[in-house]
Amino acid sequence: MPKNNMKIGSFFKLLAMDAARTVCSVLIPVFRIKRLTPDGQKYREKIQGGAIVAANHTSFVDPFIVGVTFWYRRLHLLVAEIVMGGKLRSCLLKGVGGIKIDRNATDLEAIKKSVEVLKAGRLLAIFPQGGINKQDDVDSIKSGAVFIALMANVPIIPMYIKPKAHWYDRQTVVIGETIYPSKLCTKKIPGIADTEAITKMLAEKLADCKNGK
Amino acid sequence: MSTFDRLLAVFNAVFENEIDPDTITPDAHIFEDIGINSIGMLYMAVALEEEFGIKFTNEDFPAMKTVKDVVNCIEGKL
Repeated sequence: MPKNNMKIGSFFKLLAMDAARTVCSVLIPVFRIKRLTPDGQKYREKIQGGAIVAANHTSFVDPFIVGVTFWYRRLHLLVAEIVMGGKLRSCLLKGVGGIKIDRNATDLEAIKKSVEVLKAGRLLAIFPQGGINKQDDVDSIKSGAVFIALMANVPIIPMYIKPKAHWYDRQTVVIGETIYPSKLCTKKIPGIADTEAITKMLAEKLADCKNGK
Repeated sequence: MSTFDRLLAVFNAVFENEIDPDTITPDAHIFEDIGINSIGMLYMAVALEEEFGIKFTNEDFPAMKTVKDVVNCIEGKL
């Protein structure tokens, strides 16, 4: 896997991303995140190199939880066009590593940008449910994350953000077994069938995380 | 080799065993007749960019409804 490098983004952009990480660091004692594996063990791995974090999305707080979980990495995030509405918000979100994507169209440019940051060894968070999903239905996920992973030749880390019963509870995240999409392809050039099969596998891994101990 | 023939070769390589090559005619609708979905469209775009040395923009996609539209778009960029 490529090592994290400084090719993506100007000095000021990196500074903005680091400012975002500093904000996330402040949230560490707020969330008091408990990182677990699906079988209830403590998750001790440190993610290195380019990778996609595919998480469930039930609340607007989720991007911050992902940011705090991986506080030791500069994190990019696929953000829906509608969330980036307004010049100030768009500027701020782009500054902290947000990549704008149009969910209702074929947004090749956002996908290319995502592949670019991943190839540069960065971490990219994607919510494959395609937006906030209050029902927390991890079975119906979109295949964009798998397509991007295949294009960038990076692994996908499934992550389940457990809903909290009370605001003061510790936040639990369950991080599943890493998926290596490129190794799972049945054809030389990945196609629709491979992408859909790996997406199904990702949904199963997310369900394992959700239903774990 | 015409643009259509090169496009046909790309389709056959990318969608091997996934689509029926006989359905690919100039007037065939990409989604309805050939059965390519939105992810398939992305695979197609990436492969065509590589084959023809062009770059698609997001604005190109809404106009690409039939195979002929894709050919016209490619020829407009060559």
